[in-house]
Amino acid sequence: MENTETQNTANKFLLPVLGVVVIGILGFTLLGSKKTPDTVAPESSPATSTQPAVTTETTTSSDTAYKNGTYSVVGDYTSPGGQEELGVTLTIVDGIITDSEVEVLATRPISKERQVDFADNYKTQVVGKNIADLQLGKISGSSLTPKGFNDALEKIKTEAQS
Amino acid sequence: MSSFHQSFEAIGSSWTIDIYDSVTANDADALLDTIYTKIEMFDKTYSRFRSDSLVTKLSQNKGKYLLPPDSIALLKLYQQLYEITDEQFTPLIGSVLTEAGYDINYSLQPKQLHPPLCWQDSFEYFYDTCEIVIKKPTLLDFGAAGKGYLVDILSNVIREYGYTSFCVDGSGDMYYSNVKNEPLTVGMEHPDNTDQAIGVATILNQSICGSATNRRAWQDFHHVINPHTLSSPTHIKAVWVIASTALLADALTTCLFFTSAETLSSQFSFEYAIVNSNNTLEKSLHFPGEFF
Repeated sequence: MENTETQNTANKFLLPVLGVVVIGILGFTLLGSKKTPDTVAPESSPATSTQPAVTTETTTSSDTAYKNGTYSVVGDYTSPGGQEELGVTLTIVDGIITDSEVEVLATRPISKERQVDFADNYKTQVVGKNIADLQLGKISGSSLTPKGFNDALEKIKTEAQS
Repeated sequence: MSSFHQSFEAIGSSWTIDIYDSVTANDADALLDTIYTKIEMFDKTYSRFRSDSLVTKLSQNKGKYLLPPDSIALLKLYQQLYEITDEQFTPLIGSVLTEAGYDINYSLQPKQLHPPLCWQDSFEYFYDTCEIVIKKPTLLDFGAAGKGYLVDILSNVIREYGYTSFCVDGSGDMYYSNVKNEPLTVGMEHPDNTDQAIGVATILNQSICGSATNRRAWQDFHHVINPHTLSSPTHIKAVWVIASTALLADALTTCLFFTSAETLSSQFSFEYAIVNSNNTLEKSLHFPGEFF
């Protein structure tokens, strides 16, 4: 997975915030269960050197500690410029984080920029591998276009260039 | 290795049919014949790209017309999805696609776009008789689910001939069946680079359908247009859906441009993966596949 230098800087401050906020949300919903939590990364965690520990239960029994639902919390951290806040919303289904959103609440321009970059990129990014190197039965993507369509595309490209 | 392997062009795209059981030479000929006949019947009914099709006729005059029996499942799903997507998934999108330039001549020259008619103003379809009453003629388009449906129809033809291990692939919208329970690995094409895949899905006795904005794209448009905004969604680059039928999988790949997976899964059972425009990935919890 790819990370830019900006992202690494953002991650240094913001991932721990995300982690603390997540634990905070899950702690808030805990209903006194004594089960041992597993440590799993949510589906949407980026690969960086500072992975937060996210604890969640993967049980689906009726007395699951984490009620299904959407939870929002504001976490705060101290940036080099001062105190900043980051909003985090999690959706929990059967004890697993199935969706997450972050809200940019920074007030300082640089922090805002970092938070926006973080929000745009903290989820898993797709990475490509050459099809020629893979053993695949089939490929699925957008449908191949017929000659008529391709010819039309070429025509408008030519016209656009002239 | 398949004993029956046929590639051909149909309904505006490239198809490959593989049958893994032993197919006799006689069967192969008869099967191919039936397949081509079914495709022609389908195309002549539902295509908006033919001047001699029923859909073209329906766009010209009010009146009562008869659709074939396979229209039942198609219209039923369209109606359900029309409702659950707040009318964004609609068969009435044909006029909008045409105005955007995706017309019978592939002019790709956008004109002024107008909101399409709503379903009840345009036509009424009767599920018990397959009759369609056109109140206000307009160009219908079944492209969002038509290919998937044809995949299912051809899969049924193969089953009727007694074959149970096969793959019907309509250019990345496919159904795969295998009695030996050997799954099929399907590479998910990178929407930005068609020499690459971003992951591999595994299917067995299911359909996977893919949709992306990279190929059928011109000016500010691609093949999915939102009837409310009269523009093509820009937040998603690629979608895959895995479901028990190609009709459903194909239709849902379009729906996911408009409506959340959460809303759609309240009524339909499917797995999905979405590549957003910023290259982030979202997928269902149990999507059978790995991403790199």
